[in-house]
Amino acid sequence: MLLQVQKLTKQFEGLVAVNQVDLEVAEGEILAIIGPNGSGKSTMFNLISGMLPPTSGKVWFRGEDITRQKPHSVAKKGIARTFQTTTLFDQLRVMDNLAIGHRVRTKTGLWDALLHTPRYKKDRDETAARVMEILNFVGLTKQAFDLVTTLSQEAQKRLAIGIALATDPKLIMLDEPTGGINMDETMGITDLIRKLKGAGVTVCLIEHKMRMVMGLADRIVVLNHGTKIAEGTPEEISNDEAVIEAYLGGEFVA
Amino acid sequence: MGIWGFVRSKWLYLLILVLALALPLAHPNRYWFQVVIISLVWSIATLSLNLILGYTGQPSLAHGAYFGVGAYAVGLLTLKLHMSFWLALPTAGVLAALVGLIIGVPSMRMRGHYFAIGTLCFGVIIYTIAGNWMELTGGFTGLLGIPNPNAIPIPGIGRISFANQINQYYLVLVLLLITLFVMHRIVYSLVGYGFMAIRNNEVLAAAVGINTFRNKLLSLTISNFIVGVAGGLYAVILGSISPSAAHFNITFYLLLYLLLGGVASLAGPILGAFALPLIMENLQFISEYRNLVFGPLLIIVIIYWPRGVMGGLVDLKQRVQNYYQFRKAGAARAVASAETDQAI
Amino acid sequence: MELFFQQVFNGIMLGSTYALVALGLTLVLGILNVSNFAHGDLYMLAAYITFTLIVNYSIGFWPAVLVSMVTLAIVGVFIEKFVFRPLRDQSPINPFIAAVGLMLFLETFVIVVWGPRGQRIPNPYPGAVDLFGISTTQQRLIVVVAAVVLIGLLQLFIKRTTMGATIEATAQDREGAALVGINVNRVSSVTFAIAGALAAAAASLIAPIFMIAPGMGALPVMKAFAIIILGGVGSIPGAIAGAYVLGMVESLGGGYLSAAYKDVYAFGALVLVLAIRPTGLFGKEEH
Repeated sequence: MLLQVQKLTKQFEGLVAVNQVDLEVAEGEILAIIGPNGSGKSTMFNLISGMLPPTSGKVWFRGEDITRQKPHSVAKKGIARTFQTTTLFDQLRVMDNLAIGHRVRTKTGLWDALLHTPRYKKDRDETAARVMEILNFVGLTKQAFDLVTTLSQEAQKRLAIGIALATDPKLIMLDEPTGGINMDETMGITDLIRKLKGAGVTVCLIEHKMRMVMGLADRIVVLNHGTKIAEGTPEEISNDEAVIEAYLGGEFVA
Repeated sequence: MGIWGFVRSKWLYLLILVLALALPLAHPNRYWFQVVIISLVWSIATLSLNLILGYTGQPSLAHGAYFGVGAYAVGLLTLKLHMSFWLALPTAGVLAALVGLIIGVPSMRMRGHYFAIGTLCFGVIIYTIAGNWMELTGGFTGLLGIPNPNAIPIPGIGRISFANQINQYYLVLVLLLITLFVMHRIVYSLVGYGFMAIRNNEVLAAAVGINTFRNKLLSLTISNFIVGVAGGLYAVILGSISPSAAHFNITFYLLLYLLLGGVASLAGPILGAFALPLIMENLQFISEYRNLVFGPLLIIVIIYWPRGVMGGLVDLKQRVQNYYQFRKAGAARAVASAETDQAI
Repeated sequence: MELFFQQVFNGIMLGSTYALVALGLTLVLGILNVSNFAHGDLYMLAAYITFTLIVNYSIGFWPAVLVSMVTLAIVGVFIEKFVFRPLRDQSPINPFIAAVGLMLFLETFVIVVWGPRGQRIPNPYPGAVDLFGISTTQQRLIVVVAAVVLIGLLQLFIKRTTMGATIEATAQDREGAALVGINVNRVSSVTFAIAGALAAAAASLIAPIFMIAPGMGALPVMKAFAIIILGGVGSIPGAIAGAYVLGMVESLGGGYLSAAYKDVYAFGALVLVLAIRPTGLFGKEEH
């Protein structure tokens, strides 16, 4: 098991956003977390990635307890994430974004920078190479030197995934990677996610678009009001009564 | 190359450097020359503020106080302890950085507004102490008779004495060039990338593994060391200092130079810190009224050219493009653009 | 013991003036998200206006204070419209810079018009007064009474008028207020007007006791910021409580420990609180 979440709970004043959730992500699989709006999906990500401290419960990654660690430590350990609202370094260019994403895997310090030590050069070249790789992988090679603000919505989403990939993670958590883009673009992103799996990265994603999820995920976890109500293969989930009921009159997006 | 090409090329900077080096040959007026030297000191201080504010996005408003710490450090060490200037100056930088750490570690936990105000208040505390600790700092009279930097003996030729203006000028100029070099190396490196990431989007920076606390502290420490050195220079150039060297007015003036000159660029702070005091001093009749102009000027600039002044890092793009080498990765386009655009 | 109560009373007096300054500032910061550092110079400007009215035009004290308050209210509206409104919704550092520009302008303006040296406003109530066994001056007592009256009037305005309620709501939740369609322009203008008027009152009341000088606004505005951080941004009770606490700390510290370092105590207290609770004593998590 790559990621293990045990009885994770997050309580805000008067509202239990995540309620005793158990979750497991096996290495190499694509796990989707779905559920109506407000069911606690993004909060789960925030808890796992260290942005929010849990009220109770534990998070294990590669056998290590990472429950209360800060976001930058979690990233260093190998969990990368994207955000529901496209979050990029919008004052910089595409390649800068990717280079910054890779920073965590470099060791250049102040003295290396001042004296241009061999370590500085090695990191610089390695970063350049990795950035080129990722540009190719996500299909943004032509826009390498463009300012992020000139990119289309869909390109920005690909860049966000690219930045996460640049941290050389074992697990990528994608929060609604196809939010706000049309059908064709969604297919593009879906293919990209499959490519991630092919490259050996485990993926956990939050999504709303049911058809996309059904065709993409190996396993699905369903949350409702912060509680896990179902778990299984796409087949099992689409036939699950509790799931169907949760979505009735709700957020069912084909 | 054409006029515009020349202006944006490296040759312009070479020309400026040559002019700067040759300036004393023009036998400038003593008073005016002093203003030039002091402006160079302000340039160093402004560059340091640029690192923490312009590149890392942290509004550290105690900068004037650290300048004062550096000034008093050099003043006291050379005057009372008879330490060599060459030892006192780096010590001043270290002291300013240390004080900055004491203030910085608790301050870093505050965000935005609060950080700005917290550091400002710290600055006032330091200023008040400087003005009232009679035994140490001489109170509001300050320190008088700070000695010139010790002469440097050069085997075979003689000694370089710093009792005259010209050599003091070169001293400050050299230190400004060193500061520029350091800033340049930092900014165009992965370390600089870390700082810019924090400024642009701190949440994302943390999410991609950047230890924002440590990086902010690093930026602050480097910044404070440099401004401490600037303060130390100020002390020996003037020969005397008073608590006004630690006053928050200094912070505001540095801010003014930085913002009007151009944030997040390397030439900008120098432009601001150098051109502005010079302009102010040269137009004598205006010097009293200068803030009547600068105040509204600042307001107008920030309203109508916020990107130009506060530096969208748009210009930065041009520079990083040149200096970040993609050659080894074989991106032909990178090579091409690195050759065409040479401006800093 | 007499000394203690005297210092306590001084603390109340100081706290009263700080409260007036801090109240205006906390509303401005809470509603417009603007750290108006120039507020101290509005305070200073008001003192000089009062001074000119009394000394050059022989206008009585209270009318002068009133005119000063009205003038500063107008100045406040002007500043909001031309300086801060264009910068609304930008990163907070931009309005901060504009405030610095304003500061530089106002201080120089005062020096140019009135000269760089300090001035003295003749004390309209020079007599001493015996207050429960503490001897103090009439002017100091007036400061406290007038401040309390003004704070009371402000509370009435906030609680009893629609505009007042709107202001309080916006001060506490700027984003929420915008969502329900509150006329932000009008609220901003009124807030700045109130802030200006309160600062003018504070400056004019205290001017006869201390000297007035071009730099007089710097420390009060910084202390005011310290107060609103302690009391919570946008919170009126917080500002009032914080102001009196600060006044006490400064007065007692200055009286018993060292007068020269009295400002250090105030800021030291702030720094201490922020180190423990980075969002202030009553503050909520920043956006």
